[in-house]
Amino acid sequence: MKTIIKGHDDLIYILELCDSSGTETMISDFDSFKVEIFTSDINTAVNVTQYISEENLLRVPAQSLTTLADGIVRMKVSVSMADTEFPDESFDQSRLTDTCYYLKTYNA
Amino acid sequence: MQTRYNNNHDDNIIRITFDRVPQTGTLSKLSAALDLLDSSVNAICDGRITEALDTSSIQTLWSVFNEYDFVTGAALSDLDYRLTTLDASFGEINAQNRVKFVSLDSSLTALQNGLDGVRNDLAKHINDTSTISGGGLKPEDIEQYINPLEWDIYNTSVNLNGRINDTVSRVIDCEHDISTLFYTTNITNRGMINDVSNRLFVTNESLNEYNATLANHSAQITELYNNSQAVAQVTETIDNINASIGIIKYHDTQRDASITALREYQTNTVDSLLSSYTQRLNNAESLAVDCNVIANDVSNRLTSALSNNIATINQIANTLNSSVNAALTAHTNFVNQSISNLNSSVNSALSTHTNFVNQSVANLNSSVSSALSNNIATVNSALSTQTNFVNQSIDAVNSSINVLIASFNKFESDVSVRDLVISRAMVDFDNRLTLYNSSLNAAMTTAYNLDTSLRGWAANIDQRDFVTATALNLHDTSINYILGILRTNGLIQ
Repeated sequence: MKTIIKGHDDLIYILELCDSSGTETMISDFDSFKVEIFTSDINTAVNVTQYISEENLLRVPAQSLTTLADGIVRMKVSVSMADTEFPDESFDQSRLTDTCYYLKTYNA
Repeated sequence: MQTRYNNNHDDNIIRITFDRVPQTGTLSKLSAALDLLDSSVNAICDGRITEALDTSSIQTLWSVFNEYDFVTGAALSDLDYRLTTLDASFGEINAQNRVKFVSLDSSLTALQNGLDGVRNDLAKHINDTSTISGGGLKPEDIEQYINPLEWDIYNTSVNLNGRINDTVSRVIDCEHDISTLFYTTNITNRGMINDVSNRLFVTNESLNEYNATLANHSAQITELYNNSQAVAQVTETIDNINASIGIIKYHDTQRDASITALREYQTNTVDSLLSSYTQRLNNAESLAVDCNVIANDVSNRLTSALSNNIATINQIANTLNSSVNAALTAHTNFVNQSISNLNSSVNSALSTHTNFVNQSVANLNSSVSSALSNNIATVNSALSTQTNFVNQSIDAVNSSINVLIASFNKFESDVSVRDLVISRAMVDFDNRLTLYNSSLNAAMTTAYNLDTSLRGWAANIDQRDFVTATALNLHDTSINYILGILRTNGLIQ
């Protein structure tokens, strides 16, 4: 059974970031960090600017969700940091993931 | 208004794992190949053609490109297979769902028909028994009979609706998983393609810079060549000019000599004439003085002989004046004629010298024009040759770039395929290892059981040996006993 949350609620996410060796990473460890929220079309993604770097806590205001179409709420996380192990001396990567929220619009 | 569905609050935790592993293997080979290509381009730019066309370098490049080709082809084939399989699975799921829906619909219809039949039967039965006094079914009996049935129908309907909802939910989840897989695959592929495109763009930019450097070097070589040719032409022209200047100087010297000669002529002739004229004038003046003396004498004589012949004296004076005037006129005409001749000679000499100088300048202009014309033709020819060479070099480099781009595109896709193959091989290896361990454990168990059995058998054999030995001993004892009795009785010796 799915739980239905009604109303203009903000979405709060806790990010658990780790590399391939299992080492946990904080947002503040990256030189650049970007999160985008979207549903069916990534071209309409909304940038998420409210987060607490030291706690990996993310807040998506409810108002920013009104521009998204119905569908599974997806997230794109893009990070980069200096790393001499790479040819360009920079580790940069983007990851897509689904959240457990389904966004649906209906007439009240 | 928007509604958001969530399974539970724990799902607010998003776990993301980054593959922080430097890219090695084929990409390193590609990087080395690009470095080799850079070295070749630099060698071409520096004019080290032999080094640039080194056979081992070309073979290394082609081996890397061929590897990209092979790996890319395998990767595309695998991706195509995966997409085809996924599409077939999706179609099969849809077909199964359609069958389930049709079956559910049929079940509901049959259930509804059965319920209608039960209602009809009950109605008929009520109708049949209504006339029997005190007999048949009562309304409460009917309700008691119908209520559980309706509850069963209701529960069945709820169950069916739940199954339908569950099926729909599974279909949605399946579609979502498939779309996510497609989306993730597309994003990953796009990321790889963008990465490769960016690297190729950077490589192309570098090659463009090399081309520009090559063109610049060629232009500089052309310019140096043209400058050397122009310097040679200018040197030749300067030599010609110097020769002309020498000729002009020679003619200047000649002119100075002519002027000097003219001046000497003027000095020697005109001055001489003037001196002669002056002398003659002095002589004339002296003569005039003499004449005056004579005139005075004559005057005196006339005065003395005034009375004798005044007319004679006047005539003599007139004659004397005419002679003096004629002498002066002749001398003036001579001087004018000399000056006119001198002017004519000077003008002729100047005209000759001017014509010579004009002719020399015309010849010099002609030589310079010819030299410039030849120089321009040489420069144009050199420029055309260099331009063709540069264009051919640029075409060759662009062709190499296109081959490199195509090879690179094919190669990059291979990385994921090889990872997939390795993953599958690892899974297969794990499965085989598990099977091997299971077989080994079974074999160890069997060996242990066999060992136990053998030990049991050995104990049994020992026991049997002991029993057999005891029996043989008893048998020997019995035979000896019998033989003793037989010997005692004398039956045997």
